[in-house]
Amino acid sequence: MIKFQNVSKVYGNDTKALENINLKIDDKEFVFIVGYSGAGKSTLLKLLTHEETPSSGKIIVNSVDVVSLKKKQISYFRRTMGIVFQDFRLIDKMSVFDNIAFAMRVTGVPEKKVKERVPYILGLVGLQDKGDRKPVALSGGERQRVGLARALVNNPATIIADEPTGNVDPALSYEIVELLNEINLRGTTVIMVTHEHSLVKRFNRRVVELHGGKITSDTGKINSKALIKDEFKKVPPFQANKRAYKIKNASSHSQKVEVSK
Amino acid sequence: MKTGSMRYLIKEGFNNIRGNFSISLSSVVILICCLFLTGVVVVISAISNQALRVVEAQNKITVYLNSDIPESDALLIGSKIQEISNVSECNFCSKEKTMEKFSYVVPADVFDLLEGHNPVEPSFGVSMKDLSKYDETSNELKGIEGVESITDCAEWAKKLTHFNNAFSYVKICIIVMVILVSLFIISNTIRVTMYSRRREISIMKSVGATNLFIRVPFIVEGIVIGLIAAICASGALKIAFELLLRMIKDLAPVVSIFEGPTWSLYSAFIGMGMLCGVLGGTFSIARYLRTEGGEVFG
Repeated sequence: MIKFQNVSKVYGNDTKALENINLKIDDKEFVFIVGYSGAGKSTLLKLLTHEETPSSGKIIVNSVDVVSLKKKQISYFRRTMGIVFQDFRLIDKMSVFDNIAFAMRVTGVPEKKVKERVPYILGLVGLQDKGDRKPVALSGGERQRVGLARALVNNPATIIADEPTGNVDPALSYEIVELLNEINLRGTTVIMVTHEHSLVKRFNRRVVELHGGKITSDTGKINSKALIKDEFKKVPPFQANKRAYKIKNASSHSQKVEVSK
Repeated sequence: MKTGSMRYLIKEGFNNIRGNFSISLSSVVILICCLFLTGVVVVISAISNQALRVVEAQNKITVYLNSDIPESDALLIGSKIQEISNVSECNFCSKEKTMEKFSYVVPADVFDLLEGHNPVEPSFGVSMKDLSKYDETSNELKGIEGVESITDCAEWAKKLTHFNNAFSYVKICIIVMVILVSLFIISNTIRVTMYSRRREISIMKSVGATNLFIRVPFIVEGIVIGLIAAICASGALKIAFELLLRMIKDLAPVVSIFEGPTWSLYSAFIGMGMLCGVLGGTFSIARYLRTEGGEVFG
């Protein structure tokens, strides 16, 4: 569970980025954070990842008081979340496989586990045949899926997506959010910052709107179980089966996925 | 840290060097020059100390007579010198004998310029019984008629001591400067590598890599640059000293007694190179991680 209690953030030049934010996100929720530029969306994410600390208030993530974390604890805390960036942040000289493996290697995961886990995650995002390609050889949507795979590979409790559809065309945007939706349905909390109202409308999920550093509206929690049924109604049976297979197997990290063609 | 992780980090350190090869190479070259300069200063200082010890070990005074003095008069002066109570030994060296000694060390064409003229002075090599009576004995020698000048080892020893003292300050200044320059060069090289890898560092931060994990490849890079520079500088110093020795050996056979760069100097070089690498790497990455390197979303 993520909890913001009376959180305010004022930057050095007296800019009020966030003002008295009270927000509670339950486990396994999918939340869209929307708002215009300068509304405080990025500051909210920075506070959540401890890149910034609040000027006042408390932030609790899975019973951990984020504000009082010691310097050495921050890196371990960040391992509980996966971050998806708008600009993908892939390393061009590395292959797709190595880009994903990189996230595991830097946290000291043994190479044997890396070799087991990465193909599984690649299958999960539908890039099982593209592990040896370089990011430049991929489309925008595919690159973002690599970014998503990297965020997922360490099995985080929360995925934070900072405008993940900002650099892809509308059709692929849908695909990316669909993938995040799938990840959420298998039990991962997803917080997605976006400008795209069309996407927000299409995926009937909780929406928190920020304006001038304050929460101006919050649709509240949406029943995920009801959503799963709705989601399955929307897609053809074959796709639904494929998704069910992925969701069922997602909890077993060592298992390799064989995605139907 | 696990062995597998350490292997990965060391590999990354070498990748850093390969990725910024031209900058790493120029850093190595500058460091070689810095360390070579330090080596030259240290070797000059060591030679000067050795020379001082050699001079101090001798208690001989050379008494020069007027160049036109006949040999019979010179021998009379010799007997006067022998009469001085503190003189234990007095050996005459005629103009011809001195010239003959010169002929071993001075090229033959120099003698052609003299056209048979012998400009050197006859001299006596005088040894003392008691060195504490040095000043009295020296004054007595100067007072003998026909004595032109005296050159004693104590004068040389004094001069060498002055030189050594002055040079030790210069040596310390040069070594401190070289260390600072080395640190600056290594830090800058590592900063360039860091900026070229800032995307990777930001990703590392976002996935929860510890600061130590991020630092190690850059420290490895610093150590490798320092180590390569130290090895090359040691080799260059050894070659340069041996070449110099070979060149001046014919002119002054006495230089062969001087000991050149020693293994302790080479070890110090390697230690210094590696230490500069560790410090340069640690400082620059720590500063970077405290500021812009700590950003995840940017």
